[in-house]
Amino acid sequence: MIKTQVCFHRVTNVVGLVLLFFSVMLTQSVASTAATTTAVCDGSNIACAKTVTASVSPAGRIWFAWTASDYLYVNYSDDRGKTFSRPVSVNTTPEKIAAGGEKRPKVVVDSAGNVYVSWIKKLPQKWTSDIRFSWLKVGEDVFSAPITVNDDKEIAGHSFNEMIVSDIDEVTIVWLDGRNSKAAKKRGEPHVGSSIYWAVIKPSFLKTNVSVEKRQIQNAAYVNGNCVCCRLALTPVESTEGGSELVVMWRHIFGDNIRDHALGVLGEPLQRVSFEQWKIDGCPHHGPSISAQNKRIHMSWFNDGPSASGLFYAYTDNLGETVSPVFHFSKSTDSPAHPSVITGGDGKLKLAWQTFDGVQSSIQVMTSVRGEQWSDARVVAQFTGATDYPFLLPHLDGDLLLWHKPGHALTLYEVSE
Amino acid sequence: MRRLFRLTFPRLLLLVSSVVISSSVLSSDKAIGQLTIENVEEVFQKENRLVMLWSVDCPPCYQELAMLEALLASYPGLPITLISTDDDPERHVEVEEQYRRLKGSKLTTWVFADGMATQLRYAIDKTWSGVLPRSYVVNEAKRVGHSGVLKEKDIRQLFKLPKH
Repeated sequence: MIKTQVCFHRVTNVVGLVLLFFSVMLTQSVASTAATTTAVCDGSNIACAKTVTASVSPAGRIWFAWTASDYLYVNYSDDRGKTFSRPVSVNTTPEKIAAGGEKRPKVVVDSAGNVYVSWIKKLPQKWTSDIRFSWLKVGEDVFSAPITVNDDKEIAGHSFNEMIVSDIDEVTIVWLDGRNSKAAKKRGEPHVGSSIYWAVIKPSFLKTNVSVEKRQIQNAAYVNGNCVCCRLALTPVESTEGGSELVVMWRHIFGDNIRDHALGVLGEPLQRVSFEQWKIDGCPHHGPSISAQNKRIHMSWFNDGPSASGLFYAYTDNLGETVSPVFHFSKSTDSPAHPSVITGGDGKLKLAWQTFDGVQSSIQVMTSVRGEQWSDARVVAQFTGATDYPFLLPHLDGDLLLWHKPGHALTLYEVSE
Repeated sequence: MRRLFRLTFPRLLLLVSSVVISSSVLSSDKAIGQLTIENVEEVFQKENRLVMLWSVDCPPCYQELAMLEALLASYPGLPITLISTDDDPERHVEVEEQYRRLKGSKLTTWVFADGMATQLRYAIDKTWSGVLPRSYVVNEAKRVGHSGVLKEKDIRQLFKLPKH
C-alpha cells in the first residue's frame, strides 16, 4: 500500500512538474510575442501605424494621417520629414477606423491653412461603413466633431474615400457607395458593382453658426457599375474655359466583367481609357493613379489582361476621348504594384511603383517632361519586410516619396535628381 | 487515507492547473494555422488538391465560400485547402468565423502569417497580382492557377462529382 502511494505521488509529481514546465514555457512564449508587439506600438506612435497617408500644404508643410486604437491622428513636418510635430487626435470618441490597403484616412490643407480629414468608419455589419469628415480651423488646436458625409442613412458600404482641396478652398470628397446596389437588391433587381458618389464642401461650411452635428453635406451620384474593391484617383485639371474641374479615374466593369479603367469629369459622361480586357469575376485590388499637367492628364494603372499584364501608363489631352499609346513599363514577373504618378514641384512628371524580387521590395522611379518619353527606372528605396504602399508627394523644394514600413520610424525619401 | 489525500491533493492541483494553463494557451493557436514561407511547398505538394485563396475584404470571395459550404455539406471529403490572405491579426476573428462554418473531413485551413502577404504571394506564384479569389490545382507538380469566383460546376468537374 505504502509502495503504491509513494509510486502514485512520484508519478503525479513528475507529470505535474513536466506539464507545469511546458505550460510556463508556452505562456512565456506567447506573452513575449504580445509584449514585443504592444510594447513598441503603444499609443499614437506613427511608426507603428499600418498605413500612413500624407499631403503637402500650399505652404510646403507635410501633413500625415494615421490611426491607432480607434483614434485618427495627424501631425506635420516643416523640414521634409526630419522632425515631426506632436500628434493630435482628431476624434475624441473612439470609433473603428479603416486603415488597411487603400481604405485609409486622407488629409488635405487649404490655402488658408485649414486642415481637413476624411476617413472610413467601419460599422458592425460586414462591408458596411460611413465616410467621416472633420476639420481643424487655422488658429485652433481641436478638430471639429466628426460628421458623416454620406447622406443616405443606409447601413451600406461607403468607402475608398479620396479627398482634394481646390485653389478656391473647396473640398471635394469622392467615394465608392453601395446604396444603389443595396436598393436594387431590395427591389430584386440586378446591379453590377458599386457606385461613385461625391460631395463638395465650400469654405462657408466652416463659418456657419449651425452646430456641427446639424450640418448636412449634400451628396451627388456620379456613376454606377464600378469595381467594388479598387481605389479611386482624383485630380483637378485645367478646363477649356480656363478654370478648373475635377477628374476621377477608376476601375470600371465593362460588358461581361471586363475590368478596365474609366475617366470622367465629375458629373460628366465617362470615357474608357484602358483596353487590356482583364476579365475577372473577383477583386483586382489594384486601383489607378492620375495627375494633371495643365490640360493633360497622366494615368497609370495595373491590369492583368490576356495579352499584357503589369503596370501601364498613358496620357490624354481631351479628358479621355483619345488616349496616347500605352507604355507597359513593368511586367507581371516583377510583382509590380501601386503606381503613383505626380506632376512634381518642378512641373515635371514622376512615376513610382513597387516591385518584389522574392526577398526584398523596391521602389522604382522614372521621370518625364510631358509623358512622351521616360527616363530609365532607378531604385530609390529597398526593404526586406512588410511595407505600406508608395506615394509620391509633389513639393516645391523637391519631390518626396512616402513609403512607410510598419514598426519602423517614418522615412521620407528624396526623389528629385 | 487522509494522509494520501493531503499528499496527493496539492500535486493534483498542480497537474490540473498546468493542464488548464497549457490548453488555454494552445487553444488560441489551434483555431487558425498561420501560413509561412516554410510551409508553402508542403501546402502545394498534394496532387489534385484544390487550394482556394480568399480574404475577408473580398465580397466575391464570399460567393465562392457560400457555394463551397453547400457543397461540403453533401461532399465533406473534398480535398480542399483554404488560405485566407488576411495577414493582419485584427481580421483573424472574421477569418475564424468563416472557417467555423465550413465542415469537411479533408478540409485544411490557413491564414497568411502577420505582415507576410507580399512574400507569400510571391512564394505561391510570383505572377499572381493579389487578385481574389484565386485558386490552384496541383497537377503533375505544377500549380495551375485560376483567378475569379469558382462556380460549383467547376468543382464538380474537378472532383468528378455528379452534375447538379
